[in-house]
Amino acid sequence: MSRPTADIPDERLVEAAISGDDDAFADIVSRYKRKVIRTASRFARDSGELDDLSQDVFIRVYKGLKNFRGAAPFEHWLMRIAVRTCYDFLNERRRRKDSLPLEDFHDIAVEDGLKDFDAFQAKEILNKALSRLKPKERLVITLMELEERTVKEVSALTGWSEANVKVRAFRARLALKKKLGVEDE
Amino acid sequence: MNDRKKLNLAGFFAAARAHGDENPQRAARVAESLETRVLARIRAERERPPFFALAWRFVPIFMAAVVALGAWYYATVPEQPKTDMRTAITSVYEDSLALNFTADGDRL
Repeated sequence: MSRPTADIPDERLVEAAISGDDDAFADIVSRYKRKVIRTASRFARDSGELDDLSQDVFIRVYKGLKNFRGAAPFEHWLMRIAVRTCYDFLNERRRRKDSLPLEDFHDIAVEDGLKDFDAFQAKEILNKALSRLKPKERLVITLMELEERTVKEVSALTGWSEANVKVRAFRARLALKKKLGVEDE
Repeated sequence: MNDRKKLNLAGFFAAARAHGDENPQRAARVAESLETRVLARIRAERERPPFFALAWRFVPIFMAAVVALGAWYYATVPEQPKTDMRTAITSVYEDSLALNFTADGDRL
């Protein structure tokens, strides 16, 4: 990609992509891929999954370009699709009963966890516990606690009402505490 | 942080955020040439005929199958005896009317 596109506003690139300019869409991918990959990497377990998920996001974006009205910034619209795609991905994985075996979680949490418990292991344990939550719970915890987004932002990204986000976050924290076996704060 | 029991939920979140992207190579690998892979998929989908176009192509086959099934049905299924329910009912009714008239209604 050698042509300078940094100055071109998103809306112009979108118009060009809709009219069949593939290079314009490549510019859109190039502009937002890091943000999309950062969000997708919270849900994907390996490079293969991350690559598939990131591609799926941009394929959906491409198919939905005609529906972009420009009422909100393009980035918000794109990230909403990214979050939606990640959520569908979690649902699909759950349907396939493709979560980590419970024994694996207990092995790490109990055997390793109690001995030499560092921050990296905490993250590993948390990831395994998150993989056992319902997709909605995992999504809300990931967005609010790991990406530190506000209730308003989560509401905008997911399309849930703010009250709904709060209720789901509360329930998700309870479920997570149960999975992790931690005490109340 | 030697005991998991002492670590509350906020501690787990803080630890996860501290190790937010523990595998930056993975993200970098995926980011590399993502545009090319996405565009390749888009082009492949563009070239593949959509489902409805494929469905229309099968319409003549479906039609031929329906006609063949119909022909087979009429050729093999034996003709049912014609029984007209209305005729049967009205003829019995007329008989009873005639009997009633001739027998002066005493026999019914």
